[in-house]
Amino acid sequence: MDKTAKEMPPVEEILRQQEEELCIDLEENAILAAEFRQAEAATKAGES
Amino acid sequence: MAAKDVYASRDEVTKVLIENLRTYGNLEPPGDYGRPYNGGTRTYYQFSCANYLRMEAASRAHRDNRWFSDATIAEKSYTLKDGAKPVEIEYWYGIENGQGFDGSLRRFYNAEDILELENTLESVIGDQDSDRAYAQGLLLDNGAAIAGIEPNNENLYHGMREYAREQGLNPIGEKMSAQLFMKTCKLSYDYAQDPLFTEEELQHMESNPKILFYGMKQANNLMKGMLEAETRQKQQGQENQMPDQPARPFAGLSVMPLYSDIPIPGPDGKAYVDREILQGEAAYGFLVQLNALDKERFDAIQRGEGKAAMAELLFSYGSYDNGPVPLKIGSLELRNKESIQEALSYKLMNFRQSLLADAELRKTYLHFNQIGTPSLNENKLLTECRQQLKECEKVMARFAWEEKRYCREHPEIQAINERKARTYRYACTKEMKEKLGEFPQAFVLNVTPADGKENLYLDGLDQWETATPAMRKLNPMPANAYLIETTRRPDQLAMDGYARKLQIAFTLAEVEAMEQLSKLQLHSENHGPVDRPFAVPVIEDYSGMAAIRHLQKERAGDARYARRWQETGAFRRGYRKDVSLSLEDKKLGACSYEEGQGRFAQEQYQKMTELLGKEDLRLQAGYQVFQRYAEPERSGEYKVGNIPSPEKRQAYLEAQQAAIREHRPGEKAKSREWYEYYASLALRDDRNDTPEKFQRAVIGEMQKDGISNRKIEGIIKQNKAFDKALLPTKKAAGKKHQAIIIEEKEQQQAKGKGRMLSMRQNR
Repeated sequence: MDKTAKEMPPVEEILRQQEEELCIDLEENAILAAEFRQAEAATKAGES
Repeated sequence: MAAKDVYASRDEVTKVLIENLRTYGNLEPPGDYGRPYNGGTRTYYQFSCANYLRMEAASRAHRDNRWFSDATIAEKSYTLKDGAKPVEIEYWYGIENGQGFDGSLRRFYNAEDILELENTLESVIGDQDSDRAYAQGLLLDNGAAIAGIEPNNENLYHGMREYAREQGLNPIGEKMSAQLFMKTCKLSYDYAQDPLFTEEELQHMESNPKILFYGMKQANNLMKGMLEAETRQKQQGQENQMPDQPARPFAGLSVMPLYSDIPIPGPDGKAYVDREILQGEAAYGFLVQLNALDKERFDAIQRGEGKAAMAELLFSYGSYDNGPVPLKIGSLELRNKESIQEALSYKLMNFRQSLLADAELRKTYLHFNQIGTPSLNENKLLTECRQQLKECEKVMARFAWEEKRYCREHPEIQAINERKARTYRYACTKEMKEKLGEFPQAFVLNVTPADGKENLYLDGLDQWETATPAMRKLNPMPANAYLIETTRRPDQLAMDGYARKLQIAFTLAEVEAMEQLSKLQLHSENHGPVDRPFAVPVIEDYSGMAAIRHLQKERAGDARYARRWQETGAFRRGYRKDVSLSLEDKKLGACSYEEGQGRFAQEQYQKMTELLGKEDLRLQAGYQVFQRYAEPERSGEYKVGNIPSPEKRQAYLEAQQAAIREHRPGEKAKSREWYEYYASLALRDDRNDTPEKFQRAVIGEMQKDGISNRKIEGIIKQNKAFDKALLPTKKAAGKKHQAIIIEEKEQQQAKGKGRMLSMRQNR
């Protein structure tokens, strides 16, 4: 169990690292992602 | 689009930004206030980190900070104007689950480029006082050490840099933080004069394009934390306001008066109600009134009217909650200040400062407080004190800024604040000051070096009253002396042990007034009590302040006797006195009174002192100087309300006469007993205010009782002062007179019977 835990860092830790590396704000990114997912879904629905 | 494309576009952005930094000293050209934000989503958010830099690199001074995504534009069917230039904003897929992710760029357009939003321009005006107040608040609330600094743009910019450095940011992050901070607060900075980066740093950035983005990431984290702290505070019941709205005055200030021994009048004259929560401007208004009352009351106490009154209030401002603040209104615990921030700072911080400085006090405090809080120990107490003090200092710096702004707009409030109580000024030589060390803050309000602008003359604390300045030359204030402002009169300071250490600092006008007062003469003749007058009157002569002191003693003595017989029943006719005042050879006026009647205390003292002003204004000024500096004579005793009114006195005397009559001596009583009986009756008539009137009254009483002339003669022998010429002649006390008396008696008896009859009939 311990071994696995060491190999797999917690999701929060990964997120933190990504945020640092990416120079983004996770909250802002989540809002943007939601905005665009919605828009894309609407476009797809329109196409079909 | 793949992540590597997004990264590649960042390098392009960096190039533009470095160019801007070289040209303008800043990431963008000047003139653009506030941060860009997404105008299309329901959640308000400002672009940050990489996207903030992308917006900055677009470097077009848009007057509108709203940006709309292509998705929003499509959804709302907005029409883009010709030549509309988008900014590419990055967002990342699949990042939420911590697995694989990918980057993407989306186009955002400014509101100015959208046809449908033509007349909805939200232009942003920056550099307002409210913007600076907001910036200062942000820094203070987050513990930046900017307390007491004038919050201008330059200080705020450097304050933020200092704060970022303290928080461990590297130089790039520090500068990015200050830039982001100023943008967030809608403040400008002269980057052309003081560029963000040096050429060396710019070259370093060119070879390492990621540095700028990493610095911005650091800055964003710091800024976000600061804004979140601010939001948390707002949520904790503080005033909720958007930064772009002008701040309401004293937002977050809350005061609740708990109780007060005397009413605290509001601006409309109506007294504040206990336990009413006052907030913002109203809370400040209350503090203004309280400060004014403290000064007014102090002046009244010095005039001998009333005493200090206890009050207590709760105070909190922003994140700082002081809890109960006890206050003695009239003791100048608010230190005679012209600003509430200064008035309160001492009161709020003094106790904790004392706790930090004084180990004995800490011991006592712990002794009493460990009972309720057993976990409290010295270290904990020290830490708490330091924290609270830091917090208090922070919020009071903000208060000072708010107050300054508020009072500039409300000169009427400023005028109230500027009213000063009449405190006392003393001089202390430089050497003595060094010897004395720190003055006790409890009663020393200010210690300032003498500026030499005012001519001041020094006199000893215990000498000034005994010898008037005309008799000895007063020393002028030495140039290197210190001026001490206190709440203590000379006699009080002497009691505190400063008799030979400080000297009273009189103004030239005060010295001149006292010189004039020294020419005042008082002549007093004491004739003794009305029943046993002195054969020769006792004469007293006073001059100058001693004359005033004598009048005050007489006033206090008169009031004391008058009260005593009312309160204890002890009765005594006082001495009859004639007092006259003169200035050199000119007589100003005179009055006669009998001690204990209360008339001198109630009216005549005032009339006598008014004579001074009628004759000579300097004389009156001298009297005022004396009143101000001298120990009041048993203050309160001569207050009008404390002295029985003439009606009350009359009723009291009549009741006493009736009681004496009930104990008429028996027929076989001795002459001494008879004399005491009749003298007591006559003494209890106020109208008998001369020995002659008194003696006539004694004889009259005896005659009313039908006592024979011979017996009267025997009785009055008991008082050697009695004038025998007043004795009734045989004719006057003949049978005819006795017959009249008997007739009167019969009439009275008949009246009494008649009354009895009518009472029976009524039943």
